[in-house]
Amino acid sequence: MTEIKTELDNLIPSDRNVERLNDRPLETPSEIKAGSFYINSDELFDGNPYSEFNNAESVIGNPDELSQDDRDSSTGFDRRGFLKSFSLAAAGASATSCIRRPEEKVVPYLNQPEGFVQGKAKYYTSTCKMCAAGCGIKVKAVEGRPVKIEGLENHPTSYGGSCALGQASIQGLYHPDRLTTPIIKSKNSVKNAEWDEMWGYLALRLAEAKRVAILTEQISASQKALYETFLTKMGFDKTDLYTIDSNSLYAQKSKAHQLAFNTTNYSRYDFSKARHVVSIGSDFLASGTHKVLFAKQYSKARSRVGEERCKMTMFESNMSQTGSRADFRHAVPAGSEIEIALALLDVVFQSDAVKTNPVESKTIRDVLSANQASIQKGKSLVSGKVDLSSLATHLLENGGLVTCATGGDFDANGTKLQLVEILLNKAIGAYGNTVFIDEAPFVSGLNHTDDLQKFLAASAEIDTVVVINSDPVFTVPESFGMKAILEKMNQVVSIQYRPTSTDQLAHALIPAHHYLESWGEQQNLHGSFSIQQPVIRPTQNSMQPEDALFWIAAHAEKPLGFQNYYAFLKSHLTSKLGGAGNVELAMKKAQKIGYVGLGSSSKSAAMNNVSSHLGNVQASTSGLKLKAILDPRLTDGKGSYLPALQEVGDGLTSIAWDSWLGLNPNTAKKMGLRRFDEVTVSGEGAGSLTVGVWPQPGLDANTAMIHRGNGRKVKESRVDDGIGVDPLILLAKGVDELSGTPVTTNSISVKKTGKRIRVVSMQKPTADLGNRTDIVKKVKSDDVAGLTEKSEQFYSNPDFPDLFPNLPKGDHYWGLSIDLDQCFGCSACMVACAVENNVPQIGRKLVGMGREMHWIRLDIYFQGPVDSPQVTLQPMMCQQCAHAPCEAVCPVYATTHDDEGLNTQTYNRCVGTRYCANACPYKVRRFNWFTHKWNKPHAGEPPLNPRPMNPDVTVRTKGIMEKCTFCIQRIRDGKMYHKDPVTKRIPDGTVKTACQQACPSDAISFGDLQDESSEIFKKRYDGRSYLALNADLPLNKDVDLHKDHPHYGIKTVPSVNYLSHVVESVPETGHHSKNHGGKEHG
Amino acid sequence: MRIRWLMALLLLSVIGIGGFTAGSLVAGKVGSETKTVNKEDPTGLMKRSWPNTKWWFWTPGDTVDNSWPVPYQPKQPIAFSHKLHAGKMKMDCQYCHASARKSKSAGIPATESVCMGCHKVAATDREPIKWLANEVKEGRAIEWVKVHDLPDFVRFHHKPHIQAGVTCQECHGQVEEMEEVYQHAPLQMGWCLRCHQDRGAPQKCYTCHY
Repeated sequence: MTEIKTELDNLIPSDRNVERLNDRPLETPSEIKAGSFYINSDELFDGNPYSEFNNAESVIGNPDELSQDDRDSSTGFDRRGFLKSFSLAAAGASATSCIRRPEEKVVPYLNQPEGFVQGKAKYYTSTCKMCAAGCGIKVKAVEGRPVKIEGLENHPTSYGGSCALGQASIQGLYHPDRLTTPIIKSKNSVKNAEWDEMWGYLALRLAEAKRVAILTEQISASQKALYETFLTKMGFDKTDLYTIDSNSLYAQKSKAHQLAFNTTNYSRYDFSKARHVVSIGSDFLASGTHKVLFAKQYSKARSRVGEERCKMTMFESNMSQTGSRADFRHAVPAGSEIEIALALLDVVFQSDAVKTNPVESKTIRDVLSANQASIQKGKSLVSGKVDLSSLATHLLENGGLVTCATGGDFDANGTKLQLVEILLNKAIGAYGNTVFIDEAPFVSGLNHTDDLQKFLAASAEIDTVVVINSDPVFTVPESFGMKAILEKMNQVVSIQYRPTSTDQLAHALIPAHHYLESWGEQQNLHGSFSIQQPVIRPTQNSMQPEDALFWIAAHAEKPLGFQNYYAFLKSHLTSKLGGAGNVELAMKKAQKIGYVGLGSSSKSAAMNNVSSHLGNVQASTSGLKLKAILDPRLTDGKGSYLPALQEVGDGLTSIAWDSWLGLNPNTAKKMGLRRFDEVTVSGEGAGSLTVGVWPQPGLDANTAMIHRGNGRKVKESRVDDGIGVDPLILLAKGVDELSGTPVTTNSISVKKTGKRIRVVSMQKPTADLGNRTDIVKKVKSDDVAGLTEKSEQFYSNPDFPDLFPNLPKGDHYWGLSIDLDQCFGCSACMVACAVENNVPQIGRKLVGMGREMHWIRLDIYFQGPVDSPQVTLQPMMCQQCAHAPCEAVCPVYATTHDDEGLNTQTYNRCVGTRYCANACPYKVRRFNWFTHKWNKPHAGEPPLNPRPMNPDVTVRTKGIMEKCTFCIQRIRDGKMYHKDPVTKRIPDGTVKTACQQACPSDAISFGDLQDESSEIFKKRYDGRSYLALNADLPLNKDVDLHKDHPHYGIKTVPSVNYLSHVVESVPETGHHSKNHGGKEHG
Repeated sequence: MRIRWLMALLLLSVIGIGGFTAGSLVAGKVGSETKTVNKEDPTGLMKRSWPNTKWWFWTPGDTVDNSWPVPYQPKQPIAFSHKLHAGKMKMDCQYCHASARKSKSAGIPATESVCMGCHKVAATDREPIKWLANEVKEGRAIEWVKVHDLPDFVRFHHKPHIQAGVTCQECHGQVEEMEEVYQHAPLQMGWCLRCHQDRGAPQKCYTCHY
């Protein structure tokens, strides 16, 4: 008490008339003037960021849909009488009825495994199989149950990072919608079958079959070998193995390299060596072939200072997350990517510094002469916006890299675009510097190009199809008639680990193991391959698809020659593991490390003359084009049954549990469409759909965007039932002729239905946001070197007194740093945090009411004109303020400050006043409005929320506040097991928060600020660093701490600091609102 | 007005009777699942039923000195005597409860790995050992009833306590003199805090509640 008293004495000035700085009345929403930042474009057009709420027609939530328990029900009692009688009854009841508390059992192992310590988790290595990249993962298993997936450090594909889909995939293991028993469907009946029954049935059917095909997604080499062995041994044709991956980029790249270099391995990028990256439509960070790897590499390239720092120029038609990182971004019409690429090739080739040899030069000359029209078109599209010759010069200096794609969707020029990319990289001399062709295969692409076309062509003769872990009925556009083809088959066998649309057409359904329960392997970079091992005994009555094939063959009396798939795998890997001598040992070693690095050198590859394939490039056309994009999180629908992914939402719009039609705001305005207008969209295909409009800054004027992944036609999983729309139904049957992959873009027409429909998004424009300059700071890249280093004194500004006491510091002081220059909004951090901390997913209705439970959220800020905005993505979690407003207002001391800098939440003490959430200026506190139980649904919430519960974190019930804790359970574990007893230090990097560990671009750093050699110490006092809502100072050397200190913000002194976004130029404010009066920021 | 009071009385009796039956049903179910193979029960402690139960608002012994009316002593599936093993045989606590110095929980010895380590050959003529051998043969571990049970919002970590030199007996009592384990200490927050204050250990909320 004495301490506080002294401070108060100094506060009260003798002169009562001192004007306190920053003392102005709270503004009411109607007085908010649009500032330079905006979240949705409505702020620019209407001037009022609240227009969506003030507009009487806008539908916030249908009041009739409110759940029954939210409404008053008439009971016949009036309120007082009810309270009186009920309280009497309750008092009496407690006296008479004593409910016994059940005993808690504690059950040990029967046979405890070696090295197992109760209370400590075990970590197993494995490979994520949610996409073809095959990132190495480390799975944390508690008493035999996996609870968390993390990236495996040093793995050549993941380097410790992971993506949102990989993080969420653990929910698929415990998912209640997994098939629990084999099913045999006949014309009249659906029957649960025993395994023996199933094998007998299938053996019989396959004996009768004339031609059997296996349909699957990207598979590994050993899987391919097994499937071919199966087909051969069963007497069928081994070429009837079709791998149809909905990310056609793999097929297109593979085909292009086959044509150019006679190899199906495609080039390996190394962004970390690049100094200028030109991306023509390639969303390589969020949606390409190896997004985690490229994000890791690219973040290294961006973190260099000065001349060496990598810059990116982006030409794209949709607003992608990679585009949000671009230094120079230009929106171009959909379909014109190849024209831009050819134009660039032309300009590069004209330069004297071009790096091709005579053979390559001839090829390029042929290509250019055959495509003059496209080149002219490309040049005209970018004229006035970018100077191609200076771009070419920049690329020709060492360290250029060009990457091309069509931005998450695929058009008819896909493979041709890849060929032009090869030519461009050859021309700028990228091969051998930033792009490499390795001796050993890069990925298990394994020549599966043309497989879709081959299957369609052969389908008339095929009578039995075995579909393994893929969903061609949903992922191949409707117009290809997959459904009709499969319906015609005599027998469709569907072996799936998740509910799929293909199951609806199958005659025999076999529940497959989740990848965490399976054996396998995956080829990686440099010829290395990673091991996939089971981390848990099968949780359901399921089987690995490969083992199912073994059983079928055995029952058909045509055994495959091995006992099971594990034996087959070992034999297949024998040569790679070092010969037959010590396969067991080598396998165990591989399992321990997670991958076997065989090391392969890159080679120089002679290029064929590909000009013949680039003869007739399809020209881009005008008119509104739809891009049906692979959602960066849900991909093609693989992730739609995982509630964590649905809830995390889109990175650039924060739309969750929904689909939307993305349109350029100016285009929408011209078409008379507002946000939340419901429209009917029809394309060149047979289908049409109704969806809500969401004006999205950054889109090209004639491009519309709908993400794939949602829009199931019948209920497959309780999670994605009735969610969103499927844009594939709009597409006509178009094919990229070189690789046979489906085209997922075409023209559409949009018509208003007259209704309004709620599209659920999480980020709302908040008061005063646009005016503040202390939330997002930007610094020009030229000015970075001249920035002042910070100090704790600078942050906590002792000149300005406040009421908070100085708390004693313990052995550690935890800090976290977020680099706004690296974050591109993949949301892996959000999913990792939800999985680590038992954060529930609450479903569409509650998210729509604003009750999202994310402890870390992604805020999106646009600045500049809507056609080409500058985007900053800011992850925001509890700032662990040293001067925390939330601690001051808790009436029961449920939130206190610990001596290590954390703002701790004592869950059992909280009574649910929610005053802390009111006081928090960052609005990062979350209240449990309901108990989102694992096994009890609440209205509107996906019933059975499959969360792998982390036993180290308290599970919260209704009425409790929660928020980010800097993963205090990990901090405790770090202190318990890794603290040096003498120096009291924990080695830097031992304790990692879940978000930091997941982030593929290393945007988040965490550590002990008292350790001056730690990474976080450098980042907190870096010149670019600032504290959100604090220290609203320009960041330059000439600031005098004592004189020029007018804006210190709200002085919460957070432990989280942000590193400013480094930009080439800060855009002028782009709003045209009539309220623009140049308000002084204060 | 009279109707209101009548309805209240009705509600009260309904809840009372309903609760009582429900409670006894629950209690009955819980009790019937444990196996009792206690031919050797010299103290008769195991036959008492009501100290074996906990209620939502109170546990026997839930007073400051943990004595009234009797300490919590639930029935265990097998008559394992710490007095014999830890007292007479002088086995170390951490021989069986090995995780105590390494992690949060002290751990219960694995039935086959630890218990059968001796009992494959030791005292194999006794009824309880025969029962144990049979359980192991059929692949079932022993389902012990937890005596020292803290609520879920308390996070207790054994390792720092052992490292600070706190003996097992300080919190768990003279276990080596117990035929059947009972809860020696009240385990209430005040009891924990008193020792923390005496020894200068951390006394912040977040030490145990996070």
